[in-house]
Amino acid sequence: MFSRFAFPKGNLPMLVAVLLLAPGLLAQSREPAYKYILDYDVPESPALVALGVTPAKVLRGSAAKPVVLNLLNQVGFAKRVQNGVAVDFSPYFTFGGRLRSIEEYRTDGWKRLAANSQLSIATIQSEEETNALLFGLGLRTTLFDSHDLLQDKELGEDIDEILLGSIEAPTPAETGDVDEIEVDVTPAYEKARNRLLKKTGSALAVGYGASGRLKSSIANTDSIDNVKHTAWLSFKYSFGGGTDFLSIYQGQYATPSHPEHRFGIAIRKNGTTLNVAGEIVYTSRTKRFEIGANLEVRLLNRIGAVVSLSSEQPSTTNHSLIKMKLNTIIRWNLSQ
Amino acid sequence: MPNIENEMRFCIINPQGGPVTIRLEANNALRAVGKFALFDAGNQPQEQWPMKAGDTGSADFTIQTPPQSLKRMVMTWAVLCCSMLPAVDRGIVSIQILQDGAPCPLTKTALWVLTDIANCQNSTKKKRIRNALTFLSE
Repeated sequence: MFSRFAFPKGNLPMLVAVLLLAPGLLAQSREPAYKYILDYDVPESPALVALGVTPAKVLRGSAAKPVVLNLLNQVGFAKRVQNGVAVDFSPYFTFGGRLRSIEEYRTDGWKRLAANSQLSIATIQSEEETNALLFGLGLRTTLFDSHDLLQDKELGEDIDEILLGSIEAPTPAETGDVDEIEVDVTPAYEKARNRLLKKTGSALAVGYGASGRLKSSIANTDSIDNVKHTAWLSFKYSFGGGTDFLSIYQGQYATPSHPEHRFGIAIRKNGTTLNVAGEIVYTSRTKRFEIGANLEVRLLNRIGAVVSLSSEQPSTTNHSLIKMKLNTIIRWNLSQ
Repeated sequence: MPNIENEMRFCIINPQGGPVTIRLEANNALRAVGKFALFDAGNQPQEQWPMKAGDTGSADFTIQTPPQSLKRMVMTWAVLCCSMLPAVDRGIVSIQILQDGAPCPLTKTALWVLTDIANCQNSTKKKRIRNALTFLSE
């Protein structure tokens, strides 16, 4: 099955740069280690899932982050480098949605669902045609996540205690101001993340996306073709200690009579500086297994990089040649 | 010399009524806590207490000083808040004075519409409100 492998060359300089720079940047950082894990757990862009260009095929079920920018660089064997961008945001808060209190988030299932929904828009250059643009729209909702920080009551109480320790009631002569003072509550978050790391639990997310091709990159309905619909269900189980099991069902419906089904599983190890995952996916159309691995590293505050290597569909001319695809994504968490 | 803000905010209470309750509220899932103090005419603190709006966004505290003794006493507070939700940076913090279940008339509302509220985790900056009111009897 794996008699020969072919690797793309075009993206190797970027990959080498990420791997060489990352440890140095992390060593210089004074951020506490737990924060890397908090920054990491950003779910894949739903629009990129619809386009089929996410670094990992087995997706996370984690809670959404309000605004994330993804810059994609993908290269397959003997193909053009594809560059793309995706913007993910939480529509509930972006369009004026509000919560009365944390208690409402915990008790009102519909508002929690809305708060954990993520909408995204993505574009990527077409591999086949130089002047065509692929676009994707996606929506993803986390149905539940046992590692959701907002469900942690102890976190709120710890924050309150730190805040209370930082103020005193003023004398009558000192009043009359609204100002800002410096108070660091990161110890409360560090305790919360340490609790979550040890805790077993699961998360479930559901998503839907549509993708298409804009011929000649012209945005009108006549130039749109190759429309595909994708739906997926992703599940994560955390064993505690930073090890996650991931699984996914994904259905792609380019033509109603011949849908493509994918089933995948993955194991991910979350470290203080790196996340590493290995996955295997079965595709119904080719009746073959695809393998992949991905590495996620925090480069700077709010900015992370994901590098993945995965097998592609076998060549139609040479079934023994397994082609490999290299993906890199720079992810900027704008919500922090 | 009394602070001019105290002169501008008065709370009218019934000296024969029930105990006075202070309510701290913060919406939009803001995290808000406060330290309160009651000063007599000689600017000496007579009573001090903390309050936390908590997960419900609201907290009550009943002052131990009886209503008939509150006349001309000044209550001060320092409230500190931040946002736990990353996409939320604004909200309303308010302080209400209640007696026998009804809000006491205030000559100036104790309500602040705050913007640019930093996220609790990602910024060390926290919004602080320091203010006061004077109790008067009917």
